[in-house]
Parts: sequence; C-alpha cells; structure tokens
Amino acid sequence: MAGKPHILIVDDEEDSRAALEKVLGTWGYATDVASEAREALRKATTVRPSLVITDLVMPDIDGLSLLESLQQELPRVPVIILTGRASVDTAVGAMRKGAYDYLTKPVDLDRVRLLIEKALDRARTLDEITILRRRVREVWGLGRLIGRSAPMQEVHRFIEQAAATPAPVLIHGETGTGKELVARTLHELSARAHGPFVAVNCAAMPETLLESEIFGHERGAFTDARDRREGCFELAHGGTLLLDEVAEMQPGIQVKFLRVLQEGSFRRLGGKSEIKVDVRVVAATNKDPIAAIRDGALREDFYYRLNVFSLSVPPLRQRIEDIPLIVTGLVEEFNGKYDRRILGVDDAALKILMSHAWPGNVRELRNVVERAFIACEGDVITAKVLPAISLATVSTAWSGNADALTVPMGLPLRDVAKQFVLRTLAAENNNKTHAADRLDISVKTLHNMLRRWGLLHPTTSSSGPGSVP
Amino acid sequence: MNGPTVIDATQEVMSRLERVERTLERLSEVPEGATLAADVIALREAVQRLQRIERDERHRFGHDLRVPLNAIAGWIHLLRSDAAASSTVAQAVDVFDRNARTLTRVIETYTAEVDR
Repeated sequence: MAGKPHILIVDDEEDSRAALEKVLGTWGYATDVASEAREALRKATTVRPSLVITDLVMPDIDGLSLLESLQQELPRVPVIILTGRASVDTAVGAMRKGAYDYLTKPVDLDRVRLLIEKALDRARTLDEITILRRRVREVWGLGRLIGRSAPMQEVHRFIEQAAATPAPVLIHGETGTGKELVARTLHELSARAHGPFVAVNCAAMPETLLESEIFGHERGAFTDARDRREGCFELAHGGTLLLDEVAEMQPGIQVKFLRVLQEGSFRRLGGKSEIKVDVRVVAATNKDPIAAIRDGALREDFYYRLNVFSLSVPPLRQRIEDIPLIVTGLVEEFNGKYDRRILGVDDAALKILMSHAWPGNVRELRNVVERAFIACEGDVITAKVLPAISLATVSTAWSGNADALTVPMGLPLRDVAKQFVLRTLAAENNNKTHAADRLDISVKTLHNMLRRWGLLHPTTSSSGPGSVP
Repeated sequence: MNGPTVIDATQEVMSRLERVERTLERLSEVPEGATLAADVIALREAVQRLQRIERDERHRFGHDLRVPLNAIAGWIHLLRSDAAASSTVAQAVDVFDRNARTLTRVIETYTAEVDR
C-alpha cells in the first residue's frame, strides 16, 4: 500500500457522503465516492481501494449485497458498514457476511477514525503475511513440502489451485512421497484452515471397525458399542477428511461413502437420524487407481467421485536436485529437535545421498539423515556417519543430472545393467515402450529383464506406466 | 418514552390470550369450545402481526431520524476542526437547513399518522 490509503465511500445520502469525504480528507486519506452499489463496485475494481465504507440501506442494491460482491472481487479489502437501521439482526447479518465492523448513524467520527486505522493496519499485516508466505514458498517450497524442482513446482501450483475449491482430491504417489503432507497443506491453504484436519488409514483396520471409525456409532449398535461415538466424518465437520490408502477400503464401505459424498449426510451405525456434515474429502493411495479399479478393489463410481482433482506426487528419484534443500531443511529441524548446532552435510555425504534410488522416498531420506545426525560428533555430517544404504537400492549411479549415470569401479556388470535400465525407465516415467526405444532393445527383452529382477508381475504385459520402482 | 408502549400493551394481550387458550383446552369436548379456540389462535396471530408492524415502524422512524442527524453530526465535526474554511461554513449551513427541514417533515408525517 504505497502513498495515502485510498478509501471508497458509498452512501446514497449526499450530505452524509460529502461530510465523510471532507472529514477523511482532513485526516489525510485519498477518497472516492459512489452514490449506489453498482457505481461503487465499478470504482472499487478500478481504483482498488484500501478500505470501503458503505451505507446499508440504499436503493436497488443494498450494502450487504455490495459487501458480498466486494468480498468476491477484493477479498482482502476491509468493509465498514454504516446504517440508520439500528437492529441487532442487521448488525449480525453484516458481521456474518464478513464486514469489518458496523456502526449506527449518527456515527461518532472519532470512533470511525480509530476503526479505519485498525482496519488498515490489519489489512497491511495480512498483505505482509501474504508477501512473506510467497517469499518463503519461493525459497523452501510450499510449507514443509520442500522442493524447487520442476515436478515439485507443479505440485505446489496444483495445491494452490485445488485449495481454493471445496472439491474432492485424489492424491497418488509412492510410499513416503509425502501424500499426507500434501493433504495437510491443501487443508492449511484452504478456507477450511481453521477447521479440523482428520486422517484415517483405510488399510489399518477391518471393515466393521473402519465403518464405525468413519461414520461413528450409537450406543448398542454392536456388542462392544458401550457408548455413542462420533466418527471421523463428524469430527472433520467444517474441515478436511483424509482417507489414506483409499484403494484398501472395502467395496461395501465405498458404497456408503459414495452416498455421503453425493448427499452430504449419513447415519451413525445403529443410528436413525441423518447427520449433515460439511467436509472436504481428500483421498490418497500408493496404488495405481486405474489398476485397482481393474482388479475390483476400487469401485469405478467411487473413484470418479473422488477424482475431481487428481495429483501425482513425484518420487524422490525424479527430483534428485531437491535433495540438498530437503537435507538442509531436515538438519534444521533436527537441530531444533535435539538442541544441537549441526551446520549441514559435507559434499561427499551429499553425493552419496544424491546417488541413492530412495525407494522409500522422502521418508527414507529423513530416516537416513536423522540416523546420521544422531551419529554425527562434529558440526558437519560426513559420509562416515551415513548409515549403510542397501546395495540393492543404491543406484550408486545417480549424479543428479537426469541424463548422466556414473557408477563406482568394481560394481558387478549385472548391477550396472540393472541400474542403467531402471534409470532409463525412471527418466521415461516408467513408460516401457519409450525406455526400450531409448535402450535400443525390444519391449519384450525389457519385460524379461524386469521379470528376472523380480520387478514385474509375470502376467503384466502393459507397455504404459507401470509399477516398476 | 414514558408509560407503557404498544409493544408492552400487545405483550399483555398475548399473555391474556395464552391464559384463555389454557382454559379452552379444558373445554375442547364442547363444539363451541373448538370454534372459540380457532378464534383465539387467529387473534394471537393478529397480535403478532401488530407487533411486527410496530417493530418495523419503529425501525423506519429511527432510520428516518438517524440519516439527517448523521449529516448534521458530520458537518458539525468539520466545523469544529481547525481547517474549517468559510466555504465549509456556508456549505454546513445549507446542510443544517436542509436536514432540519427533513427532520421536521419526518416528525410531521409520523404525528399526522397518529392523528389519523
């Protein structure tokens, strides 16, 4: 907000409007006036004022409707409502619709001055927070979703886009890629951020327990139901519900869940009354959802209902360049957790970390760094304190450059071939036809190799993206 | 405002009606009792309408007084500030004149309704 703050005054009564315009001028504000809502909205969108003061009762469009339109067009601009109608109902209505404050005419102008200062101060603080958030995001990525690589920037963009809507989201990604973190970030950036975030793991419990966990139960609904219990759906009211490992959810529950998604209401187990809830559902799975539909594990109608927005979280091996930033973030976190002052990781250790395939993704990296952090006696983590990373998963080979592969001397030739093939597959997003092309071998030969290494199910013959690590 | 208001008076009518309704419950087996009960319900609804009209009227009266008073208060604030120029004084006098007439009109309208 550079220069004088700009205030838009909206009042159909000319004498009041002129007085306020003059008074605000003597207080050092730049002003604009409008005698009705349409003119106000037009001026607001062109001059983008720092604050709007509007009358409530006006011909054609009233102050409350103007407030609603302003909230859509300029959501961060505070709106103060002045009115000659002194009723509790209208005051409550205005505050509910998001007015900054509400004053009854004849207004005490000293109070108006104080209110304006407070409202502008708050708007400035909110602007600063937005700018700082953007800066932090530029440096670190979205919240704890660290990464500046192209695939992660794509994830950040997606989250920002999806957070602005209440639509369901399906997150797909390998184990340890941070699907729950994505769901949390979605929640934190959404309008529901002040509501609860509830996560339920659909793979961790048997059908009846999961059903009661999600929908809750009435007392006596089943043998062990001694008390009435609210389910995750009720607990998440006004917030976000994460269904983790959704492809593991039994089809019976999927049907019930589908009904809730369609109707926004459900019954507790053993309950008679319908409970209405306002919950945003985010589902996550480490399985290929299309394959899960083919196998009959995931109902197609349920999948399409969840899959309004769909996001694939990239595996760590596809964003090797993010590893230094992630490691720095982890070391900082562990410094706080263990009250130490470790400066970082030396080049040799970083090189090793960047040459691992990370089948367990960020979660595995986190565990490795934490163990090294604990073992570290100096102020820098060296290669010596890194825990041994199993050779089967070490690509030993990844230089961080997507098109280069370096292998240490002495690595058996079959391992070199395996790492080379896997790296090519990863570079081609697991598309076997493209990988085979690049390796100048037939798709059949590639399949035979993957089968030999135990990385392909004997009956799988698809040449599209598969489940090869 | 001194003495009982219209809202107080209608409230009293409402509580008397409630007493009559309770008595009528005991007379429900008599056909005349049922007719009387329907009349009492209609009467209660009419009183509720009256209360709503009274509230709306008061709000409108308040609004009609507050709007010109707001203009007057704003211009008084301006005149009191050091920066009040002679042009402001002249403008303020016009505003006071106009809004004093408005207030007089408002009061005349409302009192005329009372005399009707």
